[in-house]
Amino acid sequence: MSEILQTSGLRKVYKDTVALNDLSISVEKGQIFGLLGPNGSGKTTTLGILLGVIKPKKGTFSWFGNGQKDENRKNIGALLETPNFYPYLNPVDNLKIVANIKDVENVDEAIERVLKRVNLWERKKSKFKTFSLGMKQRLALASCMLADPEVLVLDEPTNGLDPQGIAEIRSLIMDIAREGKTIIIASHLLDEIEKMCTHVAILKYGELLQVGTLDEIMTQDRMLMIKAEDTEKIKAVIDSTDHISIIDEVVDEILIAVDEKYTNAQINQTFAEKGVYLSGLRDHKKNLESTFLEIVK
Amino acid sequence: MKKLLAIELGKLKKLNTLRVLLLVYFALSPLVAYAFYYILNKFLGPLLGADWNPFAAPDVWALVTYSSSWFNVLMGVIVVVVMTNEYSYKTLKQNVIDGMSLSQVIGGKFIIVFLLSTIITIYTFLMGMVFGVVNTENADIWDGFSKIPVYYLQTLCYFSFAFFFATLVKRSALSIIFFIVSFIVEAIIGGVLTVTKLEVIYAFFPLNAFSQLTPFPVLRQTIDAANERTGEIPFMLDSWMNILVCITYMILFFFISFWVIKRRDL
Repeated sequence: MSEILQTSGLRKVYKDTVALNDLSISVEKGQIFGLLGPNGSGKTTTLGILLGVIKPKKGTFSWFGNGQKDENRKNIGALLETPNFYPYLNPVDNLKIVANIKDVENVDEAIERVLKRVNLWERKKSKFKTFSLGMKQRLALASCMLADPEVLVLDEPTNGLDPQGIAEIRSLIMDIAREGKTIIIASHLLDEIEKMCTHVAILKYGELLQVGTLDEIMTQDRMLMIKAEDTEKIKAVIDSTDHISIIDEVVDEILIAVDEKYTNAQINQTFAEKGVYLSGLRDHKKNLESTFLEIVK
Repeated sequence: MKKLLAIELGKLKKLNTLRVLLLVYFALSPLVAYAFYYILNKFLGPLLGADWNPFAAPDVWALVTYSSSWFNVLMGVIVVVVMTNEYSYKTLKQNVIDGMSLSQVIGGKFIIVFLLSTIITIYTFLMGMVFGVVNTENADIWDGFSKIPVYYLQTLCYFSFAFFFATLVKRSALSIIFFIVSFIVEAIIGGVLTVTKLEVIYAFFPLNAFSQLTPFPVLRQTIDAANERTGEIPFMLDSWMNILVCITYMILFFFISFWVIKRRDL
């Protein structure tokens, strides 16, 4: 597989907060690489550095094995934070500017192709400022695809959209992925990542906590959902036990992670020995959300 | 270069603010020139002889550049709007994301500034030609034409100042206010300096130096007249010295803007 992106020791500091610390990742062709983390974990900072709009304090990165050249970005379709266009121009005029920047050939054809693909061709004469958020986001995706780039970099592409909008954007992205394009996507919406990504990196406070394939990330500790009359007592027991940890509280149940060595019976026993009797104990099917909560806790 | 121009023109071709301000300029500047002609003729005509005509060469060039210079603030507002739009729409950032280098982005804006200066200078030149050819009888029409390149320099100087505020402040309304207020502030400081006999210092202030590039027509004669009346000669830089001061400021303003954009995150 050929390498699309390599970063080494990226660091960014704002005043006295470390936004990103020593980030080293690599992305290969055809991967859908999810950048995951709570708000303020350094996702947008990372993408901003990779897209040339934020200057790293330390570290280097290289696109397509070709260093940090401005030219590289012509082969990247990117949506960072918000769709940024000239509000007084219609989508065609807006895309013409992008096409000019990216040296696209057969501009009119390319614009028609991408606008049809995101269902905006009928609105080609409306000014950008009359668009709904969903349409703006779709135009941004169209702009990403305009130069038929090798890589798409998407930062929270479904942010602020209604369920229908989210579904539209998501199926568009899946479509693009099927063409064999490499996609780097940042999101805090975990089911979004879980549904789309092949690889995941998890960030928190600018630190890289985990990186690997989705399967690798998911094989962490086992998870159980437990229940008892007095949740405070459960918590006390968990606090004093090394091989159990709290992940989340769900109404009157508690989601815990346990070391794989222990069976459910042994766990039950642990609680019983401390004088807490569980009224419920069941295996919890892991998803990215619970795994994520476990990793970043 | 051609590509940068195409990109920048693509951004501006449907910008209404630009259209309106340029139309205002094209419509009003001949009227203002005519108004100054009328005033000069009425009040200075008697002093300067019956056959003196402000619209005849060489004074026509001084007159049109002086009257056009009153629109430099308005044209400066165009520069501020064009630049700050890119910040408020976050399109400067997007241009870079899409593959432009920072130098290209700034270069594109410099091209637009030069283009705007060129357009209004040509318009002023045409105005001078029309008024001049009609009214000049005994002189060469090109006499005094050197005012036109100096006016070109002047527009660039004001625009460098506008550009400087736009890149520093980034917000349209605020930059426009700062840009306009700075004229008032400098004038007040200038007034204080003049009263305290420190007008030598005021001569080196940027906006004052810029405005001296296109002085009031028949300024020399006016000064002589004033001198006769009050015996006080206002301090003025020699015109070459003044041009040098202006060029220095222009380069400084453009350079600081360039440096600021290059240095900070988008």
